[in-house]
Amino acid sequence: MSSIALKNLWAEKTRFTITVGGVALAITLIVVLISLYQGWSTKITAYIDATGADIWASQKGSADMFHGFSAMSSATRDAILRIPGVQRAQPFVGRQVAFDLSGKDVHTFLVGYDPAAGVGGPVRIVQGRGVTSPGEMVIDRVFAKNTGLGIGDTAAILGHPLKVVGIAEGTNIFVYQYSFVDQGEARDMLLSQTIDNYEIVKVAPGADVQLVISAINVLPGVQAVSQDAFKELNRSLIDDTFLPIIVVLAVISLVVGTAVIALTIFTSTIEKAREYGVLKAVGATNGRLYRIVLTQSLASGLVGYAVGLLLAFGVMALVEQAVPAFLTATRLVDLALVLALALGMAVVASYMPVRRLISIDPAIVFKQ
Amino acid sequence: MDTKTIGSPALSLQEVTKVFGQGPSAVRAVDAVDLEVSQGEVLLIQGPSGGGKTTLLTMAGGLLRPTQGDISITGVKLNGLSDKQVSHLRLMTIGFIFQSFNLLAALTAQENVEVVVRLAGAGKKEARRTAAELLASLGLARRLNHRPVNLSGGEKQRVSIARALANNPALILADEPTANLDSARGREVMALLRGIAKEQGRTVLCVSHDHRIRDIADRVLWLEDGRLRQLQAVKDPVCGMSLDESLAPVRLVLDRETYYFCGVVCRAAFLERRNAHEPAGVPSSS
Repeated sequence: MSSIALKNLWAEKTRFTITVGGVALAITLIVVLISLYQGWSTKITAYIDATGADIWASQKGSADMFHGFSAMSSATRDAILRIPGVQRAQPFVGRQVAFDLSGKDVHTFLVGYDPAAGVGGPVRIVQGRGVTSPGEMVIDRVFAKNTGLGIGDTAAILGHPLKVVGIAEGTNIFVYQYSFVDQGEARDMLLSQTIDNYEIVKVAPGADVQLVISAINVLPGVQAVSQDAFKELNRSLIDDTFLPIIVVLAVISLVVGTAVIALTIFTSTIEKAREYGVLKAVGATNGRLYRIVLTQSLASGLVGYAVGLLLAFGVMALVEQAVPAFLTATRLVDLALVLALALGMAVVASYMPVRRLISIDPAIVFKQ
Repeated sequence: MDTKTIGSPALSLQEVTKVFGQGPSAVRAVDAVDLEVSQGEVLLIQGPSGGGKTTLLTMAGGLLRPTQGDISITGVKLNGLSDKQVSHLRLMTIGFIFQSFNLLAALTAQENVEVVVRLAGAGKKEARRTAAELLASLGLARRLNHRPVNLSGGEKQRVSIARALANNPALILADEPTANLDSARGREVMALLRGIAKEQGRTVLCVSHDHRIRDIADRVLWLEDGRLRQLQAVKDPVCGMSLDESLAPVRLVLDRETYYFCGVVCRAAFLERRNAHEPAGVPSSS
């Protein structure tokens, strides 16, 4: 029966192409959206991961880096350092800034770090070197591409001329990119001489992270969360703003894909009603005929999935070339999920044709 | 009219009636038909369009349940069987041959036959072999991989016959098997069906308008207005031509006696001759 299904599909190449095309477009859109979501989700926490922190302490009420602005007295760091089990606490000083670059308004998330401490700096330098003194800056690769800045170029940010000495990767945070400067200079630029935005805390080996968090939370006006919890909080920027849009678009794609399969297989079933009648007449049970329709739907779904995947990877590669800030990350588990969705679409799409099959009277074979 | 045969019937219909619709608009397509067809017999049912031939064939094939009456195929009564059981019976016991061949367009000749063998539970290899052998036995060894679109009408009908024979059925139901064929191919197909009946002991029930194929049938029945009767052989009293009672082109009723003629010329000659001897009498003719 499966050979009839596949041969029927193959015999109607135009219809099959339309079905596969419709499914492929739906799959492409879903894969790109999921990859985009994963890209944003992963990259948005890449910097946090790179700090190697166990705990992030912030001003109470502003737990993530995007929804609010955390500012704490630098004295908080001393208090944290006095808590048993704390190995070190490094200040994170940084916020989004805008500056003029050749008449164009440019945004970056300026981060001041202490090169000697080796915490909170660029994730991965791919060209040039790290900051060694004031007046130097490491910029993100995407930022460099977007702005045209390169090693040796100078940009004035908040009145400070900064020479680009390195280009880094892993700090493209979806709407803007991180730029790294000497921490002392960052404090000058951001008027944060006695203010830290976050404390990046590392606990001593064997110390209980939860106990340390509880102890930090006792400090007035301070809240602490684990590294994982801090990543989740930052990821919520994506989840709160873009996830609903992604879900809506993915659902629309699924519906369109399902409708395409359903309609093409349905019209094929109507056109082949006589042939199905013949099969019924010679003794094929309804179950066997359902298998033909289901096989056709599944084959359309599978081929559409394969073509859709290829298209998706092509689209993502092209768009990433054209728009460097376009971040995608494709996980095998997501591809498996999309495969399950494609097969689900095929099964749902076969409902209408199967209903039509039931109504075919085998006596049709004797009608002219 | 007795339409029963002696011997074990491959197909038996008892008081079978099919009524379509209800109330005053109800149509009695088949009316209390009794029929027995024995093993190895070739039965031809003829009749006018709308006479109930296709309805009878559809019921005999288990594709339509009668309003009344019993149908048995190789001794198995269809009435008590579920749709699934009837499907299985069709698969294993009945072969269908259709006027418009009804081959699956996307499949080759061999695959069209193979499908039915596989439906009966055979493995792929066995089904391929059976299909190839059957088609070869019908002279289609060189056409195994041709799709229906690339076959002639006669070849398509032979593929259709091979498909009908695929599961060694006891009963073959053929609906106008020669209608889409020229006379030579039609005769060839019917000769083939007769050979299958006589050499393999299968029963062939064929409905057809085609009078040219009567000579290959063991029996010819006439179905009109849902009623079945045996055709009566009569002779034109002028030229002596053999005619079927129901199909004689010209009839004449004289003194409550019916005369059958091959045409109006013979009727005129008959009347002239009769008037010469008996001037009185009021003839009525049709």
